[in-house]
Amino acid sequence: MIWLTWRQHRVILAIGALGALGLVVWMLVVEHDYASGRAALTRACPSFGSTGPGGGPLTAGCDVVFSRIVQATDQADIIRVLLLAVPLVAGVLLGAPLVAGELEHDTVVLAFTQGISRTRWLVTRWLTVLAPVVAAMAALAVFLNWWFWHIQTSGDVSNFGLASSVAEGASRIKPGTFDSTGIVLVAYAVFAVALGAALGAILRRTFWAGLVTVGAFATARLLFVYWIRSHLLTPLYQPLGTMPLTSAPPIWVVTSGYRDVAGSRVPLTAASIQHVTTLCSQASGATGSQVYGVYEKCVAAHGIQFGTYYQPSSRFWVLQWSEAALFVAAAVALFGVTLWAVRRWRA
Amino acid sequence: MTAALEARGLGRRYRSKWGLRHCDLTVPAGSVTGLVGPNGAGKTTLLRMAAGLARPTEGTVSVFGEPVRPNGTAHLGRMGYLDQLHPMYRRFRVEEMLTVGRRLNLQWDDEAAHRWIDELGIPLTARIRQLSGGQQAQVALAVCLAKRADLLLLDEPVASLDPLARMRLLQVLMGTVADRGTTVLLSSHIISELEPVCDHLVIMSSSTVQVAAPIDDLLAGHRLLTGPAGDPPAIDGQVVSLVRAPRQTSALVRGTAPQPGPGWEVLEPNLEEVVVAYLANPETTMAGPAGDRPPDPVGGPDPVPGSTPGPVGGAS
Repeated sequence: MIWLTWRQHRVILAIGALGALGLVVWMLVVEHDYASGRAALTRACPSFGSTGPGGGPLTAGCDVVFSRIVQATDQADIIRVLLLAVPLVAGVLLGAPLVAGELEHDTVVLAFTQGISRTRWLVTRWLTVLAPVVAAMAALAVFLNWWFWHIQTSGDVSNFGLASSVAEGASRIKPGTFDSTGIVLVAYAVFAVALGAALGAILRRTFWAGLVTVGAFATARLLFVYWIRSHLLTPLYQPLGTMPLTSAPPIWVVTSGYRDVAGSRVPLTAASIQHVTTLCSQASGATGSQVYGVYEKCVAAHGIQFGTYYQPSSRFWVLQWSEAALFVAAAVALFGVTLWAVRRWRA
Repeated sequence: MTAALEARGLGRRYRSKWGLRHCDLTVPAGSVTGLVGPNGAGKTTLLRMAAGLARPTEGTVSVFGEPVRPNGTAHLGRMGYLDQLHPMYRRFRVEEMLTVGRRLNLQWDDEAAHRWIDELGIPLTARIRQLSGGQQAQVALAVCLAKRADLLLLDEPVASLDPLARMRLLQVLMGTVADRGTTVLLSSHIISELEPVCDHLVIMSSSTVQVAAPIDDLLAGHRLLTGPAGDPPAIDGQVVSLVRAPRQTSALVRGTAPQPGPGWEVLEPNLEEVVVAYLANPETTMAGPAGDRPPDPVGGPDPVPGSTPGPVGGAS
C-alpha cells in the first residue's frame, strides 16, 4: 500500500521537491544580495547608517547600491507571499486527489476488493503522502529561521542601524512573518492536506475538492490571524506614553483601548468613557498648551487609562506551538471525517 | 454441499427504483454459475453487493457462511471481484498493476500472473492506458485470478473481447478454476459462451432471480414442441413460452413427457432456447413442480423472442 501510494504520487512529490529547492536557491540569492549590498553600502556611503536614508551625502555609487537593496527587499516580499501559499499548494495537489482521485476513476472498486481493509487503505495513504510533506516543510522551516534572521540583520532598509535583535524581533511576532516562519508552516501544510483529503472524500471530485480547499484554508488562516491567535495568550497591556517609541517596536499590537483602575477593559461606547473624554477634551482645550499631555493626565485622574494591548516577541515560540497544535488537532479531526466518508462509501 | 454465496431476501433500491429485489440465491461451492439477463436486470447490483461494494437496502448476502460487511476483511481474502469497467491505474505499467495486486493481497501467485500476461502476448512494460480494451480486460482478470480466491465474482469478464480472445480468456479462467475447485459466478450477455464453462445458470429479469438451476436440469427438464399452426392441444406440463408462426406453433414446456398428441414433434432444446424462452416471459419461474399444471389456454399472439414481450400464459 505504501508502494502504491508512493507510485501514484511520485510525480507530484518530485515536482514539489524541485519547487521547494528552487525556492531555497532563490532565497539564498536574495540573502547574498542583501549581504553584499550592505557591505557595499558601508563602503560607498559610510555616513548613511548614522543619519538614516537621505541623511548623509549621497554619492552616485551610493544610489546604485541603495536601489540594489530595495530590489532584494521586493524579492524577499514575493518569497514571503509564496511561503504563505506553499501549504495550500500541498493541500490542493496532494490532499484533494488523495481520495477523490480514486473515487472519480472508479479505482476504489479495485482497491476495496483486494486484501486490505478500507481503514488500512486510508491510514496508509494519508500517512504516506503526509510524511514527505512534513519532512520537506520542517526542513524549509529550519532554513527559513536562518534566512529571516540573516536578511533582517544584513540590510532591511527601514531597520538599518537598529540593533539586530530589535530588527529581528520587530518582524517575527507580527502577522506575515509569523505565518511564514517556524513550526506553524509545517502545521498549516498538514492541515491543508488533511482538509483536501476530507473534502475530496465528501465531494468525490478532485476539482471541486481543490476549489473548496482553497476557500476553507484561507478562511481558517484569516480567522487565526485576525481573531484567534491574539487570544491564544492574554495580551499584555502597556499604558500610552510608557512605550519606547522606536520605528518598529518588537511587539505585535493587537488592539488599543481604555481600561479602568481594576484593569478590565472599558468599551469606547461606555457612558463613563464618553463622560470622561468629553470632560477632558474641554479641560485640555481650555489650557491651550500641551494639549496631548493634559488630556492624558485628565483621563488618568478619572481612573481611566488609554493604552495598547500587545503580544511581545518573547512569546513567539509559545504562540507558534499553540497555533501549530491547534492546526494539527484540526487535521486529525479531518482525518476522522475522511475515514468516516471512506467507510461509508458504496458503489 | 456448502454455499459459496447465499443471498436471502436481498434487495437494493436506487432512489425510487429497485435495482434488485426479493433475491434468494444459493451458489453451491465449487460450481461455475452463469448469470444471464437483460441490461438492468440486477446482475451488477447483485455482484457488487456480494463483493461488499454496495449496501443492501434489505436482506443479507453471505460468502462461505460469513455475512459480507463492506468494512470487514473476512470476505476480502476469499473473494476475487472483477468489475465490468475493469478499473485500473491507467498510468501504471502492466508490471506495476501486478505489483499492486501482490502488495495489496495476502495470497498472490506472482508466477502465474506473469505467465498469463506473457501467454497473452501483452508486454509487461506497456502502460495500461495504451492497451486495447480487450487487453485491459485480460490484465484485470489476471490481477483478479492471481489472488487465488475461493469465490470469483466476474461482471461481464469477456464483454469487450473478440471471439478468439474470449475463448482464450475463458480457457485460462477454467484452467485455473478447475485445479483449485474455485467457485465462479460470472455474468454475461452471451449464452453460447456460458454453456461450455458453466454448470449452473441463474436467469435474472425485472430486478430479481427468475430461474436458478443446474444447466443439466434445465436441458433435461424442458422440451421444445413444434406442431401445426393454431392452438396447441392440452399439454402435460408448464408452458414457458408459446410462439405462433404462420405455418407452425412451437412451445417450450417444462416437463419431460408433454405428450402433445399426433402431428407434434418433441425435441430436446438447447440452452439458448430455454434461456430465451424464460427471458421473453419474465413472469414465468420454475417455482412449483413441473408437469402438474394444465396448459394455460391463453389466446392471442405470444411474444416471439425479439418482439415486444407481454403477459403470457404459464405464469407461476
